[in-house]
Amino acid sequence: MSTNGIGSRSRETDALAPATVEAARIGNHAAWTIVITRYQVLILSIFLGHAIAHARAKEMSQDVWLKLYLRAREGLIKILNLPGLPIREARYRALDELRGQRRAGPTAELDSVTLESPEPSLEEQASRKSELIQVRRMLLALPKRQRQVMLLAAVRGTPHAEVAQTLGISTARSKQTLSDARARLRRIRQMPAPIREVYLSITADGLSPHAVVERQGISRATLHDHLLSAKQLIQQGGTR
Amino acid sequence: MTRSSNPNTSGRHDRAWAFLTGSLDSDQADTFLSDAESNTDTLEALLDTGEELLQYRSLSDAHLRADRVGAHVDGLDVDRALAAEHDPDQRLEAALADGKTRATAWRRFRRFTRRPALGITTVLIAAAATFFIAVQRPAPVPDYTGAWRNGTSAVRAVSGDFGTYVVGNEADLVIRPVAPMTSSSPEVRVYLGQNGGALAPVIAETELGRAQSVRILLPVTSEIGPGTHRVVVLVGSDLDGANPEADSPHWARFETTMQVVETR
Repeated sequence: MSTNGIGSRSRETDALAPATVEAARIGNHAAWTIVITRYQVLILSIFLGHAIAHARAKEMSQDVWLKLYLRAREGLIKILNLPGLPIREARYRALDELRGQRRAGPTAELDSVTLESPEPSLEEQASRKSELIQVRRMLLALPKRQRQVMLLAAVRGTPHAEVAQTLGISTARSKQTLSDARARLRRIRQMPAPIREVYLSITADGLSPHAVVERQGISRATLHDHLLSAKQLIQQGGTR
Repeated sequence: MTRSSNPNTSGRHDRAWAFLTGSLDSDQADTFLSDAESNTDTLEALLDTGEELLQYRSLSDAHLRADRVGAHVDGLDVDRALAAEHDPDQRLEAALADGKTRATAWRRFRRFTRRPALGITTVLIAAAATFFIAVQRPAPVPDYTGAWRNGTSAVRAVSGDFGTYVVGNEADLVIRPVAPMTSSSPEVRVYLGQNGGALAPVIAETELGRAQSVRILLPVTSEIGPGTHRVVVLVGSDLDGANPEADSPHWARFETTMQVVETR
């Protein structure tokens, strides 16, 4: 189960069923659809994390899956380590791309093979949309310097050296601030929902205690208790 | 696959981030990946971090956002939101201090009433207070309730979504006193806090209705821009020096939020 406490979406991190992995190893199409559904976000994040533009990152992700699927179909995969194998393949491709050495994707006789990444369901899209709005609110609950580093490094993907130059801090400080900011965001995510809501209403939305009491339909005492709990949860990881 | 008995969540998430963003050298990356293949906690941190990275990037990349959430999502103007100057910790402390002041006053009163020698005095004070309240006229400035109006041809807000507007609309808010007012022509001031920012007075057209209601017409300009904005209305006989963040017996304070989106 994900540690992301927002929304009802969950993700299983248990290993895939051995039968599914074995079916994928010998090139079963349905098994590969399950594998891709489970790990497509991770593979795409490797390309995006390596500062590869979204359109190209999508293309490269599909190449990774297609290559592995075709190798499986040809019986060339003896042991299928998941998600290790696709991660390694994606990482090598990302590094090659950064060095300017594009690997040719599967083409020609392979073009007839389709291996579509499943589209997110409407429910999944709605859940992600709600999470995205919450993430934006949570960014507003960060201290200013952490917010700046998050915007530049995590949201825009700017390298730390450039972030450091823009903000007049050292590269090490930029990395540390990003780490602190992400840790604080995790603590906010992990707050119980009622506590997180009043905490964000005060710190991110800038509502007055009076307005929060009215909006949430809670007593002043409950509000105070929730805020106190939120403060303790935030401080558990330090106040850097 | 094992689960670590001594989880170092922050360290694992930091290494996962470094792995995904190419900040680890080849040996470090191999070590991390081997760990992820044998340790559930590390794999979980990696999967979490991948999802986290996509969330952040989709805030600044409309195409990625469209892929993940389908329809276009408005009100995610991150640049503007993150340029805000507010201090969230200060806001939290102020809210806690506000609650503490109220709790302290109540505790003092409770202590006072528990003193045995003051039992009679308390009864007398309570009786006097009851009598005083009974003979008082209604409070000069009652609380207000209110709601956004929507859908008229003049206002043209987003249809069916009250309180949501696009630039060029005229936000239309009507507030009403919950009890009769003594002042027939109260002063009205409107304040706007853009995207969680500090409240600032704005120019808005106000109309006083027959039942002492107040209609506020606020032009939604490009300066206001997309996002979720706080709207605070103060109504009172004298608002000089009024603090829009504070309640006061001298004015009624009504607070709500207005959503401005980029497209209908």
